Amino acid sequence: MVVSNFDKRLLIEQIRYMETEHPLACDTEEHFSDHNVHKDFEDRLWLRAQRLVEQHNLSLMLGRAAKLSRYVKMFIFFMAALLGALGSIYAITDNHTINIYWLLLVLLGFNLLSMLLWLTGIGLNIKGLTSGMLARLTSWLPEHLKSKSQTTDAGNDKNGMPFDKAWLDCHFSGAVGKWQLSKITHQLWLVYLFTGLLFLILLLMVRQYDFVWGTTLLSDSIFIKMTDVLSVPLDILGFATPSADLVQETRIGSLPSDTAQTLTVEHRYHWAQFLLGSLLCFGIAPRILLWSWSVMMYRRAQNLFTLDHYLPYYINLRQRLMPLASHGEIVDADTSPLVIAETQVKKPLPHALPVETQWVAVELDDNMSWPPPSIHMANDLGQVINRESLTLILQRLQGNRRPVIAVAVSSARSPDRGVQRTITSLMSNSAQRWLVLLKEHVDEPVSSTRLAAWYRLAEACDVPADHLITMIME
Amino acid sequence: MTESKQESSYPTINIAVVGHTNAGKTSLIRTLLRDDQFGNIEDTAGTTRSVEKSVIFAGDDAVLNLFDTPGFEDSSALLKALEDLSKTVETHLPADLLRGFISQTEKFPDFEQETKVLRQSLNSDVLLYIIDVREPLLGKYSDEVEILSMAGKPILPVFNFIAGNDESLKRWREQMARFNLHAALEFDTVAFDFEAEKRLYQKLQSLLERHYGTLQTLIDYRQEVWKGLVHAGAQRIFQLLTQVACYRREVAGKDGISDADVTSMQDFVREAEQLALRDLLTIFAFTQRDVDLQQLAVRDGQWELDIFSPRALKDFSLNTGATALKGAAAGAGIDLMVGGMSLGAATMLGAALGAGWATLRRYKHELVAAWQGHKWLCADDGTVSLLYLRQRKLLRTLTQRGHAAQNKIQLSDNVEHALPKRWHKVVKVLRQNPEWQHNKSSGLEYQQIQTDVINWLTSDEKVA
Repeated sequence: MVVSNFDKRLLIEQIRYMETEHPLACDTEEHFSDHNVHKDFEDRLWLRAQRLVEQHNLSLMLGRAAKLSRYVKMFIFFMAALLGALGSIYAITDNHTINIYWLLLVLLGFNLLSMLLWLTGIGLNIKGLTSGMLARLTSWLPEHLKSKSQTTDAGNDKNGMPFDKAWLDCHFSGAVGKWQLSKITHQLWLVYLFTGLLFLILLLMVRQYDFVWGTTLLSDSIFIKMTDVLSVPLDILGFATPSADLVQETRIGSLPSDTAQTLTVEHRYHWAQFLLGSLLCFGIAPRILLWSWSVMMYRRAQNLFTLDHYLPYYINLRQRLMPLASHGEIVDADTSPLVIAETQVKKPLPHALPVETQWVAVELDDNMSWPPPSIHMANDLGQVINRESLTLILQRLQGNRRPVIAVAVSSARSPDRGVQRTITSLMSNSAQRWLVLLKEHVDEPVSSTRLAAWYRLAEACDVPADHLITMIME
Repeated sequence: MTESKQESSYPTINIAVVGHTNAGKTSLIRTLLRDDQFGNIEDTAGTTRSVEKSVIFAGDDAVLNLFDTPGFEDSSALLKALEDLSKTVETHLPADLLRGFISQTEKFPDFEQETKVLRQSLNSDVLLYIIDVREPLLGKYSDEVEILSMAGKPILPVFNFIAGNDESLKRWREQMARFNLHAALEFDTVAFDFEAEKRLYQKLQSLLERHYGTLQTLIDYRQEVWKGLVHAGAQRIFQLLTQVACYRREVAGKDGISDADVTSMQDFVREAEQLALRDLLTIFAFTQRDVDLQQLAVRDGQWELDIFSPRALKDFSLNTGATALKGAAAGAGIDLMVGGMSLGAATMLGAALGAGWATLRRYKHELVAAWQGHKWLCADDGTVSLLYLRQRKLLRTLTQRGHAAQNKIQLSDNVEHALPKRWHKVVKVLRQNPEWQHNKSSGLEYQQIQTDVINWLTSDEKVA
């Protein structure tokens, strides 16, 4: 079964209304966000909505509004049919003489008025005029439901009220609502007119009526002219219509009673045809036209019905169902997980360095000038910044037998394996090993993770804890 | 159409994100993915120890494969090992030397992490080399570039942590130029708006001529999605403004407005703003971490400064009147000028046609209240204006992720406190249409106001 776009969107909206009040968990959501599914956003929303319906067993609740509205519609159609039938019967059954223009006014007058109002309403886009009572009802009902659902919320977790409200909102608001109401209005009038016509034919078939007309205020010529004008389309359609003489003769009291008897058969036939033709031509036919137009516009409005993708609800779902990126696939895994030994961060006690200490700086920050004034030039071996400088310093160290080595580093920088290797090679042949953490000034913040990393490095390089000291560069 | 189909049949572009340990590789990927759950970020070396792949899509087409790699830790020793190896093995291309090295990993157990980087670099189309510009120009970094260039792949240096480090950035640019790497990208993981992201893809376009169209598709797609997010944010703010401006509460006449009435109004406004805040953070996929980065006055999804506190008004240089602290205004009766305007020509005509009861119905509450001597309690102009300014600032901060980080003083300086010219007129119209509070209207006037407010919220121009 092909589901129309409107029905898909309706279901999605119903789920949105529900989820705005009670979030629903979807067990297979990841599946819909799979980029290999190759569906657009709304298709994914629909698939997800369908899954939710299945998972939470919502189909009964979802269909409730539609089912209810079908019953209501059937009921009002029945009422319209009843009114049409009663209208016809009451208009002509009380006596055997029918006032032809009065009857036309009764059957078509209100219809015409309502049609004019509807056209004005559509033309000027005034909701209240297009469908009268129906529009009132449909604008009141959702509000009513809303307040009702708020009051019943506390007790019942999943009543279907949001579904009903969504259904009503989708069907009876905006362009869809306008044409939906127009469609129903025309249908109602059609039912009314058809049953009216049917009962009229039945009555005219089995009973004999005399047709007359009369006026108190207007002149006779107006009626004769009007009949002529009304007859033009009827003639074309092949209905027998009364001639000018015949109209004149039907005027109440225009003929002596004896001749009336001879003319009445023709009279009756022509007037009955005129009556039925007028009903068809001026009542039913325009309504059918307007109804088909409304149906057309209704379908168009349904096709144009869109979801507001800018609502936070949809934005959120888009992020979940259509992620811009995916991650988490490890392609080259770590085979030997890093074990970070817990090192206690203790502020080392200041300790005096031997006078003959040889100083080497390793990868200092740009803003630290090496050597600082406190270190004698003769004791400074230089700074390691690349392979060449390391080689040079190592060569210098070789001339020294088991020296006391102090390696100075920026405490704010993070040590890596290269730094560790460099320091190890510098200290390899030393009698005493010192690691000096340089700080630019006393208040320079150093994160505890950085400090911990330096402590670990000192441990790895066999620097005793009391040989790990902090020095201020100022 | 056929063109784009051909493009989508191109293989996905493989990008290896490489660099020294702790340079911010994982941060860059997080920012590009707009996903702060990706990877681990820590202040110590060797946080990332495996190669992890992420995919960036344009619609359903996978466009970029981003590979997060472990950081280089000892490139000098690695380069030395490679040099030693080149003496024993004869190779035509430097890449062959790398392959040779990778094939003998068991000989170099120290370089397990580096081997992964090399392997991934050889398998990628382009390398994003992340640089922490705060670092001194050390030999190990030159060694890294030298090793990476052996892979024979285009390298795009990406300068990270550039905020406030202009001098270092300049030195690093010169350093990269020495390696003939002139095309580079400035990037800040904190200060990162869509334009910055676009620049990255454009740089890639110039390096990967063959993938030009694919990357353009990606830029267009991301741009469209981004625009949608901004629009959604503005629309949500408009909804909040409508809710608050349309709020009214009937107060029985004689005793005037009680404190309880005011409190209930204030609670309504607070709750509405809270919900909007939550929605906005959701729309831009922000978390408390991002909120902190942006220096937003938001804590656990709550504004730190209550909208009815006197400081809130002062922060936005709004006039504090006598009622401003309460944020309440006694309700306007029927403002015929505004009423006429908001009812619209069609309804007025309808009324003239005899459907006057529509007008009556529209004003029936007002009329009944006027007759009974009741009053309306509304949110005052100051409150609605403050709400507008605060939300506008929020939207700006969320969309321009980063002014906060580039220069901390800039954020507060950057916010204009001016309201749009037609602002007060719009608030008046909103206030006269309480039915808009919960229902969107398809009416022309409502649509027009919505368009205007969204434009005000999203436009960059300074308003007079």
